[in-house]
Formats: sequence, C-alpha cells, structure tokens
Amino acid sequence: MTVKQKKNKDRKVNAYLYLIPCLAVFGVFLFYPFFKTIYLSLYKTNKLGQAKLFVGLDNYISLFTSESFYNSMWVTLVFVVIVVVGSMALGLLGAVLCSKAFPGIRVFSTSYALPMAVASSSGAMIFKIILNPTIGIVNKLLNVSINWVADPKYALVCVAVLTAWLNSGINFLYFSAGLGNIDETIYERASVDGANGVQKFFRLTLPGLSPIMFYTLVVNIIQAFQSFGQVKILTQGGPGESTNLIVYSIYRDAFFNYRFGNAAAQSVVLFLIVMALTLVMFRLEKKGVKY
Amino acid sequence: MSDLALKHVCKTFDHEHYAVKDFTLDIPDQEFVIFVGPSGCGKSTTLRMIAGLEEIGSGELWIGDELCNYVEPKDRDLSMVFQNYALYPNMTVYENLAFSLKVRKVSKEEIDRKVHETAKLLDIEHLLDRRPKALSGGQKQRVAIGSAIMRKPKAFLMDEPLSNLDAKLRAQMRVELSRLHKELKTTMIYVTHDQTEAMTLGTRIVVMKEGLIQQADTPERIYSYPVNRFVAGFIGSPAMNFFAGMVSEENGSIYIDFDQHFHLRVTGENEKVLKENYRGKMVTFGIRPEDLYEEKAAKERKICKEEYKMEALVEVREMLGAEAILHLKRASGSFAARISSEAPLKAKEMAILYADMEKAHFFDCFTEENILCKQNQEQKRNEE
Repeated sequence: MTVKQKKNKDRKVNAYLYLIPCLAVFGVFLFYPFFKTIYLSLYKTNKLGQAKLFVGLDNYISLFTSESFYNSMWVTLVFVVIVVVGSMALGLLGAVLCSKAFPGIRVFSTSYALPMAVASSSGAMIFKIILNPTIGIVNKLLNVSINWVADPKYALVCVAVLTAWLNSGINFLYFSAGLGNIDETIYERASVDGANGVQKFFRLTLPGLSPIMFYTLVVNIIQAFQSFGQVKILTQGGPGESTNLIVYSIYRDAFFNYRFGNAAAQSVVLFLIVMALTLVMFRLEKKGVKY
Repeated sequence: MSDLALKHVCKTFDHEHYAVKDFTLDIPDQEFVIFVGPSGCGKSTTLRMIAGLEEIGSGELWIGDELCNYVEPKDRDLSMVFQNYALYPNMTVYENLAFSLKVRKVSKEEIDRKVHETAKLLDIEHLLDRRPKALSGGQKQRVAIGSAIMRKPKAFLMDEPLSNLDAKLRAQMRVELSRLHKELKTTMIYVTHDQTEAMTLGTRIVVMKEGLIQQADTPERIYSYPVNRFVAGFIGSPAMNFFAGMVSEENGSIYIDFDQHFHLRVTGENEKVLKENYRGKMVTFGIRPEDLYEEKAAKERKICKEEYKMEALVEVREMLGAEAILHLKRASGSFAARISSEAPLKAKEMAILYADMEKAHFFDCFTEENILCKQNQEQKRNEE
C-alpha cells in the first residue's frame, strides 16, 4: 500500500468517525424505536409492553377489520384537510397583509407568528375556556348555547380549527420569507401593464410562492397527522369517537387498553401513509413548481 | 398617443431632501426624450412619477388632456421597461409578452397574433416556450422590450434598459431601439446615465443634476452649446477639458492667460462677451478633446498659429483604431486630446497641439454658466 493510498483510507475512516455521535443519537431515539415498533406490531404483548406471543400479521388483520380503525382514519383525513387548508390560508393571509411596511407592522407580524410559540396544550386550554358553553366568549358573541367540544357535530371542527391556528404561525413565517423572495419590480411592471390587485395575487404572488408552498404543504400534512396534545386536553377522542385521531387512537390502545401490539401496528400504518403521501408530493413537485 | 407635460413637479424624501425639484417639461407626441445625469440626480424618480410608481410630491403631470397625479399606474396607459427587465419568472416568454393584453381581456386569437408579430419583430420567436431563467441577458432585454411594445400605449418609459448588457450588445440594441421608435411612432422617455446612449438615441436630451433640469435640448445643441460647466463636462467622451484663466486684452485682441507661458487668443462671439464683461476677471475655459489638433491637421484647418498653441507632456497614449486619445499634462493641469492615430505623437514626449478657438467655451467662475448663455439671458430680460 502506498503512502497516498493509506492517507486516502485514513481520510475515509475519519469521515465516519465524525458521523458517530449523530448516528448514536438517531440510533437510540429514532432507529431503535422504529424497528422495535415494527417488531412489536407482530406480537401480542403483556401489560408492560413486552412481546410475548408471535402472531404474525394478526394485529394488522384485526386492525383492517375493525370499524373503530376506519373511523379513526376517516376522522384523521377530515381533520388533516381542515387543518392544512386552514393553517395555510391563515398563514398566507397574515403574510400578505404584512408584506407591505406600515406603522405597527411589528405588532401585527408578532401576533401572526405567535401561535408558533404557544404549546398545543396551552392552546387547547385557551380554546377550552373560549368554547366553554356557559362562560365562553364564542357563545356570548354568537348568542347561542352550544356545547362545542361535547357535541359530535362540532368537536372535530373545533379541534381542527385550534390546530390550524397553532400551525399558522410557522406558515406565516414560511410565507413571509417566500414573499420576500419575490422581486418587487415585477409588481411594478404588472401595475404599469394594467393588472389589478387580484390579478397580481393570483398570477404573480401565488406562483411566486409555489416552491415554498409545496414545502409548507408537506410539513403541514405531516404535522397535522401527528397532532395529539390538543385532542388529549380538549376532547380525549370524544364525544364517542368523533375526534379519535389516529395518533390519539394509538395512545389510547397502548396506554389505556395495554394493546401495545395493536398500537404498534397502527403506528406502522400511519408511518406508511405519511411516507406514501410525502413521496407522492415530491413526485408532484416537479409538475407543480414552475421555476 | 398624446402629449405629456410635467409642470413644476417636485419630489422630496424625508420631507427635506429634494429628489426632483421644479421639473417642468413639455414632451410632444412621438418625441424620444432622454433623461440623463449622474447617479442620484432624480432621473429615475421622475420616470417613476410619470409611470405612477412614485407619488408626485407637488406639481402636475398631464397626459393628453388628463391630469394624472392621482391616476393609478394601470389606468395611465403607459408601458415601461425596467433596468432588471422585471420578467415574470413563472411565465414563459409567450405568457410574459401576452400578460398586458391578457389582463385587459383581449381575445386569445388577437393575443396570439400580436405575440407572434412582436416576437418576429424582435427575433425572439424561437424563445416563446422558454422561461426567463433560460434566457441570456440580451434575450431577456428583447422580451422586456417586446412586452412593452405589445400594446400601443400613450408613451414608452425605459429605465436604463441597456445597462446590464455588454458593450457590443448595447451598441446593437441602441440601433434597434432607434429603429423601433421610428416604426412605432410613439413617445419614448428613456432614462440613462450613459451619455453615448443619450446622444445617439434621443431627439431631445434632458440633462439633470441634483434633481434640477440643467438643460433640455437637441443632442447637437447640448453638445455644441452647453449652458453650464456641468452639462459641458457630462456630455462628450472623453470629457471636455477645463482650465481656469484670466482674461486680458492685448493690441485690441482678447487673450486668456493660464500661466506665464500659456495663453490663447479668444475668437468669435466669445471674444465680444469677454471683452465687454470679463476683462481682468477669472473665467473657466473649456475645450473638447476633439477640438485640439496636431500640427498637420491644424495646418489643414488654418489654425496652426502661435496664439492657439498648447504645449504639454504626453503621459499616456490610448490607441482606439483610427483615432488616439492623448492624456497630457502641463503645469496648469491635465487634459486630453483626440487626434488621428497617424499623428507622430508618442507617450513621454512633448506634444504641440492647436486649439480650435471657434469651438471653445467659457464659463463664469462663480455661477459656472456659459458666458454666451448668460449674455443671451440678460439680453432677453432687457428686451422683455
């Protein structure tokens, strides 16, 4: 082996050495739980969550024959749609309103970004008070007496709106950054060309945001699928199973019913859904993002 | 198509600093007006006020018979080409060209016809499916101009459209712009800091400095009769040479003395004015590099006389092809001369040149105004 070859080999080994700390953290907190979950999904477990009896795909079969699971999937789908549309619309609206300098803009942009800093459980507590049937401001303002979170008709929408608001903060930031990247002179040219505000928004602003819009969409969908804290505090999956989102269902199966195998199977299904969606969207990116 | 008029237009920033001050100008239909001046002289601000992208501080803007101070840019019926082209990055060249017609809800067939017509005119037909990212600087510039000429607006506004192009392309586009103006027969207002562009393109040049119009006139008159030292120095390349000197009279002739061994005899109209008002006073003498001649050329022009002679050391000789630029130095200052490249004058040697005093300019030392213009103004005032 020549000196040069030895040097090259040392360099390669060095590179891997630098990766070890990061890989160790990922290994302990990500890869190990991930493979353990797949492993558990093939077993029946005891109350401590230890694998006791290998059942193969039985957990998956019981999942796909359970009505509760399909309900969970449906509820999650509706929830994700409301949350993603709501949070992106709120974030975009805030960002567009704050894209021009005016007195007090800092106060407004801070308020629009603030939900980012609010923990989901704190947000849920605030909403619990706002939506309270007797003292809540919503009922007072609308002059109605609806038990928002205890009514199966409204509970899911309430949780979704709360989540949309919580997620809108980070979207506001993404969209503000995206708007900042659009060259101001194209708006000036559009003005001279004869375009009005609506035409400028739909023909320049929205296409200009398409790269960041795509990224925000992916992040929002993943985030919406993983919502948990607000459901736990506001509705505990109820009334009935009307807000039993898949993540809450996993939590309930694992820590209330001690069916860790079943919960693990649901986790794997959730993982597959999110992965499939992400892959599909990355495929679509090439068509949707124009420049 | 219509006339355009600016009346006492002012624009201040921070309520105190004037970007444009008392700008008054009538632009008749079909004129090619150039706003020229150094950076920060207010030329772009004026153009943006005309376009409606900048609010007019005070004064009036008339387009045709309409006062347009508060008319939205989209309703002014103007077209603009921006310095950075401002092409819509998400649209193809076709869509970029079609945009201004599309927002006006023109029929698809009409748009298609116009796009192809314009693309053919500018030789960009093969680029119609491309996005701006895939275009070179020159191609982008053509698309930007194409987008502007899609409609028949009341006026075209152009904000330094050639400044991002290389020298060769710029020269080529200058010719094309000139051709376009003749073909389209529409008013053009063009902003540049490049005096060559101003001289070659404009039918009228507006020279600006610190927000004020210095002179608004035809290129020929701006070159031959600059109203003040700033205009004289700004237009022309290399710039006009300036020397400070004292006016004296000897045997009935007027001379300008620069130092003990360097004086020139003043001729023509300047002589009369200097004799009347400036005897014994300091003035600034200005002569263009192209109005200095080496011996052979001076003989041909019959100016090879002792009283027009300038002697100086050649510091640098720049060869331009048919001509050469000499950078010369003498005690009273440095100056440049544009001479035939065949002239036997070399660097680091003494050169003898002769000034064509008929083409000399004299400026008041305090007001920096051209003494002839000052005289004319005073005459006019007296007549009134």
